Amino acid sequence: MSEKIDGLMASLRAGLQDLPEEAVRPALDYWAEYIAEALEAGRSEEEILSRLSTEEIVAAIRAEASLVRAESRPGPLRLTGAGRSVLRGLGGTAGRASLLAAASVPYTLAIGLYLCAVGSFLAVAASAGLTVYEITRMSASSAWERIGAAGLGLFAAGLLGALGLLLWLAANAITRVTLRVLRRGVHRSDAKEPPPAAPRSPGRWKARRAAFIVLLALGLLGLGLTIPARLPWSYVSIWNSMRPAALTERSWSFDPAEIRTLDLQTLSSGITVRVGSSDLITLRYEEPRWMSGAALRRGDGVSFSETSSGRLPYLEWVARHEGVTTLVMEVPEGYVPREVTLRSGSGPIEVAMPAETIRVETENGRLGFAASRYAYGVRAMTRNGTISVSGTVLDRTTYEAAGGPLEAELRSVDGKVEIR
Amino acid sequence: MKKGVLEPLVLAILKDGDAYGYELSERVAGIVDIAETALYPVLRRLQEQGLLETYSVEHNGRLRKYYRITPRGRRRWQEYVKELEGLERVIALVKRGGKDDVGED
Repeated sequence: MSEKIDGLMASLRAGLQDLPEEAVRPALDYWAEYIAEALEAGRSEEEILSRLSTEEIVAAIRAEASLVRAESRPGPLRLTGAGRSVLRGLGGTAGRASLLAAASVPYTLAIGLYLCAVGSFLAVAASAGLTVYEITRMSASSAWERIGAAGLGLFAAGLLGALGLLLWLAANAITRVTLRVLRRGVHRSDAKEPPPAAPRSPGRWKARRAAFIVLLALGLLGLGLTIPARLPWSYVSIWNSMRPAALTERSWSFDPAEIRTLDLQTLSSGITVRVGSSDLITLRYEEPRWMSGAALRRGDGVSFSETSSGRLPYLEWVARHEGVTTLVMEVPEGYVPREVTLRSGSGPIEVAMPAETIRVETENGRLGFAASRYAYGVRAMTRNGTISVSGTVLDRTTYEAAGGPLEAELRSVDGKVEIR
Repeated sequence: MKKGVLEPLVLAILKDGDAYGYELSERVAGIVDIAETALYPVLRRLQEQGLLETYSVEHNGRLRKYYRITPRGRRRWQEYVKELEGLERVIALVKRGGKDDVGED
């Protein structure tokens, strides 16, 4: 070949250098063969070169290669390079640029769907991990509940996986159609029908359908395992603050002469402390089957804590809803402990007893405090709830009132604080 | 408009026999006035869609690449023919200045 033709081929190669070899090689072969055939047919070199524009050839190859590559890529990767390459191939034509701008709407939708699909897949991994974590924390004797927990994880993972797959396929479909419209716009802006779809692998479709069916089946299997373990019903009853059908009454009593501090903590059960008729400090606790409560003597103090019995997974999350079971502590008339601490995640707390210092904290339960009956100085605060004093709701989130020798600190994150 | 007819035109030419790139380009140029650079992307696209396939034959000490229509390409050509038949009515109507009496002839 002459220097001029070599020059044309070199310009083509330079213009296509960032494209993959599988796109460049056939193009260069085609044009080399084309020129050789044209020379053989008797055309002069000048005539051939005068009718071949390097820029036009490069632009056409680039646009075609980018779309072919984009369509053959899986998932969101097909979106990344396609728009940029197509823009290069468009050569600044206003009509075609507007086509690309219009395509940005379905592209954005597809990207949103891809992100949701990825979120679903991550949620599958999270639910699997959480399930394993919860099962390892559950009591070994609760075999049925552990199977139910596994079923719950399977149910969530199966449904989320199927949802993620559907979202991914929807995003793929939108992307494919958008690319096809772009392709038609780049190459045949006047055509009425899009070119026929690239052949799809039937094996891939079968695999996707099988994956979807397997995921749904796993979800249903999970549900089948969870229902016999009664987990859904337990969650519904806790969430709706329903009183459990089976409660175990537990009680403890202590000599007030030996006890100076009291520390009571619950997850969701309410706490009521008041002055009673007995000469002893008594604690009565209604224990639901998914909770476990115990009062222990430590030095001159008593502490009570309510924890998960290890029979219901994810209890700490569900138990954030206000519970209806209660822990009631009664103290003798005239008994004033040095320090009382009451904490509940979501249970209501009712206080009507004296203490040198009392601290009451609740996340989102109601907090009732009988301050007027005893000489309390009160400091109360809430973050998102309300404070009312003697029935009047204050328009601020803190309250302070000086009082007698007794001190009370009341905190509620989201619940009401009622000082009476 | 001209670019839009390249795909059916190439399929129609190859339906009657295989052809190499330059030969195809010359035959297309004899029918439609179009830049010589326009054909290559069309051939690539038709190949990607499985409508064409290629094979090489030695010629004067080099390889000449021939294009052949696939069964899928033939079906696509038939679809094009049906579409163009539909367009004929529109073309006739446009030529007659919008009087819709084409079908009554």
